[in-house]
Amino acid sequence: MSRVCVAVAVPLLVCATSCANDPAKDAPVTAENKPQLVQTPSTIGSPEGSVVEEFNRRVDQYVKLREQLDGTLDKLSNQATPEQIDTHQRALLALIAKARVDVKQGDIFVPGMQTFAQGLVRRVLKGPDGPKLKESLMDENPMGIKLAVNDRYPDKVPLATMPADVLAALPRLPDNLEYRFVGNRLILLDTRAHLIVDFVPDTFDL
Amino acid sequence: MRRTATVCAAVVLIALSVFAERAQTPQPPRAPDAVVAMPNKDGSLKFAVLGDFGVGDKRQYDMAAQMVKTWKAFKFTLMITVGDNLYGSERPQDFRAKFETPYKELLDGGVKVQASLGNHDAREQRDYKPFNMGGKLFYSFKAPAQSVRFFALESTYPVPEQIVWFEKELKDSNDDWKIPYFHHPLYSSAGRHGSDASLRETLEPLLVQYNVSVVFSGHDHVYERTKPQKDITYFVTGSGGKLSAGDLDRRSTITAKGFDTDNAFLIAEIIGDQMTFNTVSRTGAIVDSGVITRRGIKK
Repeated sequence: MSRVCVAVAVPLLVCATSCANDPAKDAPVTAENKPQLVQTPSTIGSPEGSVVEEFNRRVDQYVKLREQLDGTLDKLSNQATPEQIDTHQRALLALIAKARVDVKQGDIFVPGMQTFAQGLVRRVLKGPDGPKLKESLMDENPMGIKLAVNDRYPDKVPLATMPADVLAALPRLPDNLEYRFVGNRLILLDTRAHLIVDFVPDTFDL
Repeated sequence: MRRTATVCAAVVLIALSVFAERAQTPQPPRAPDAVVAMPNKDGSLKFAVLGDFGVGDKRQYDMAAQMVKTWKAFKFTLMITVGDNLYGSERPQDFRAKFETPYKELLDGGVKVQASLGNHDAREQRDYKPFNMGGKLFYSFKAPAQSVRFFALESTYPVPEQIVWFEKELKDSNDDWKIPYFHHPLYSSAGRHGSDASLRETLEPLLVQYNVSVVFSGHDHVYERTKPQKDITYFVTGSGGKLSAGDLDRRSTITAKGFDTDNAFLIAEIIGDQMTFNTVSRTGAIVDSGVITRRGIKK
């Protein structure tokens, strides 16, 4: 199954990324030649269904926990002051970290998902536009940052831009959870609590 | 008599050589007597564009002071930000030092900020009241005057849902002007980051199809206005606080105007089918100006 996915995904990725350098892109855009907005998961290759199911189940479990704990705090308005945002964020992080005290790396990114994510990122970065994508991904993305599950996302580390192809191929996340890169690690970020939920190490060579 | 003629000739020669030397030496932009002229008419949409500014240092404060000075002459009511609203930590005191204090006079004067987020911005900024994002990472809004709709995108995380949303918003908008703004530039001649080819691949077809005329971005810490690309003018306004001096590629064929020797922000005014703009440096010099006629006018 995974070999089939790779066989389908690689040519599509090559095409998707090489189109960026195609002089024909300067031609007027019409309904006929309008490019695909992004590759869909089904065309770029996807992990085994059971792996995705398990990943999604664990993500849902996390979200339920987060919502339950968030419900014990004062609701954060979308017209908040910096103090309210900061207080809420840190309080939520503390509650989540306490509730997940035994959680370790890989508890949400189950092994099959880790393998898929590592393979996906490597494939995308090996395409013709790989060097440019990697440069963009590593732009202001510092190395040597220590990461641990339940840690606060480091305040001084800018958010790495996520390649659209990578996002489209990974399972869709609920609101307030995002995939991001810190160095070559793909992290699952809780944007509400500013918390690292889980991460996949070594998704690409530095 | 002959001696007088010789002295006169020498004086003329010296004056000419000084003039020639000045003509060859790049001069700093001249600070104008009046900060803005533009049409500056009642009923127009007046807005400012600022990017990559939340540093909290003297340079940002100088820029903010210049913005206030400009605003006193040209009462823009809206300020859109193209991201990197706060660099580094985002503690409550950072929101004050990097945003509320420098722009206090504008905020107190009723200027409404509509922010978009950059790669340095925590997602929680969407809940920060003065940024008016309503808790959303991407959103659109109708301008307070003229037939204009703005689209604030989140370009560091281009999930398919956002792109689908953006296309629907563009399609549903009946406004004459559709103005998207977001952090990463689709076209940029700066060396630090440059054009985001991947994002361009995704967004440009929509911008072309739905008659977008101008796009504002930041990320590169310079000012650049491109020559129209597929009839669309792209502005990089990423020197609102940060500056990458000398970062623009002088050989770039897409640049209509660039400015990378000091910080700059942009002010614009829309009346009907035309947008007039001035780009103002930290010292108050107008480093670029022009008028853009929107696309899609029925003839």
